[in-house]
Amino acid sequence: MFDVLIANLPYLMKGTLQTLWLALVGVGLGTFLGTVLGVVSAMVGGAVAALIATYVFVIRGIPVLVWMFLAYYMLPQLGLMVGDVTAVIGALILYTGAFVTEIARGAVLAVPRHQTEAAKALGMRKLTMLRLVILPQAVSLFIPPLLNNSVMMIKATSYVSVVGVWELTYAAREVVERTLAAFQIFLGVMLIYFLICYPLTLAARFLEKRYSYEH
Amino acid sequence: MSTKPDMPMIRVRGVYKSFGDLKVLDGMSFDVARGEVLAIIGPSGSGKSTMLRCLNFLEEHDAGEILIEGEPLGYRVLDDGRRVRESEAEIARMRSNVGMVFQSFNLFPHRNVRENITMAPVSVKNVDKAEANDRAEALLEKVGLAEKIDEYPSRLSGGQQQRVAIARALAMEPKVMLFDEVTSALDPELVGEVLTVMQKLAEEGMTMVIVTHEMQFAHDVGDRLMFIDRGNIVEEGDPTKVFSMPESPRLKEFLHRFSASFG
Repeated sequence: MFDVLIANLPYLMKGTLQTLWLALVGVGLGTFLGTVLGVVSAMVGGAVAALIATYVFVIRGIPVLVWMFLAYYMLPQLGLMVGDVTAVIGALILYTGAFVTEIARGAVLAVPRHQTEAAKALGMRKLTMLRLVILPQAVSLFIPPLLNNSVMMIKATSYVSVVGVWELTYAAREVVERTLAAFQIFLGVMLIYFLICYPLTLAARFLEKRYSYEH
Repeated sequence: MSTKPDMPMIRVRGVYKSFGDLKVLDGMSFDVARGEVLAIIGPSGSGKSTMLRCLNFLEEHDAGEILIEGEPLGYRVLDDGRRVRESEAEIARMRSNVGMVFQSFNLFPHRNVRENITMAPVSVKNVDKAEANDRAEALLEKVGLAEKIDEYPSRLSGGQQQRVAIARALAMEPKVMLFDEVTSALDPELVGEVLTVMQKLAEEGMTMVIVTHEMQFAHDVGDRLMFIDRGNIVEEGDPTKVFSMPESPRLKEFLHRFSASFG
């Protein structure tokens, strides 16, 4: 019954590689962007924080699918001749970044004020305080929601097929159209997505333990 | 600016501070001499903790001047009367000379006792790691916690945490130590061990400003006692004299309530 899946597995694997690549670049860079913006927003405040908040509100209020359409159709209209892959990766980065910004900001702000006061009283400057006192304590608060977000965004890479970017879901649809074996193929696809996301869950659980401490 | 030996360790001149409409410090002025132990008492909300926190710029005074060994803290008042905020680096440098111990200990929970004590000397004053470590061991010996050096704060009792917090502040070799109701969060049987350490410090000649509800301790260890109410210094002087012959009705009432609560 699953011969059709096994026969098409090499093709689906090629799609998987493309999905992994999109996830690594889009979600990875987006997470990096969001982490930096979130920490800056929490530490600097003022106009900088307001600017970052605007970015978050604008990006977050619109579905990632719409951002992908916008990036794909709008950028060329604006004279930016970017490829379809670049457009959707850009959308993935900005979208991931917006959510991670809020996660990072929240984690930094959740470190008790007493801790920063103790650090200040010892003569620490902001960057030293951030490195030695705030970030180590923010990490354990940062990881669980970050994992949640990463898994969501990895799955969101499947949307890129709507503007014709080829990856696992796109490949699966091609195979299904050819073989009409929707059940078997999508069962395989389901398993592949799970196998991508599950190790991430394990890694996050490990990191969470590694960085937790008793108050 | 070089320090002036003839200056008092702390000089507070006309310090005002309000939180919104609430005036907390209403023009406070006092000096603390080198090696002096000043005990500040007063009812809740009197402004005593705020005053103490101003002394290392954790609270920023709205007006007036605070000098540590003659150097202005936080704001510099220009000749034309304008106040200019000091740079972050300058404020941090001033703070590194003023140790502070908090009511809630505020140890770093993600670091063990040793790292809690060595962190600031190494990262702020560039003290060599080995040297900072030796100093941490000596300070823990002094506060009677040598065997706890590798423990994490969560494993310690409140009294032990507070003694580590004192050692952590002392590791910066401060010129002044500020104590903000440091025994208020402790179980009664743990208060003594912290006060003993503070008494030892006072005897060694450390300049100390202590905000406290421990009247007996303020009396025994304080060189001078200051009673604050509604952001004003109501009465100050020799502790024995202030306690035995309070002049103002407000201090009389305050002391009366205290003695009543002790039966």
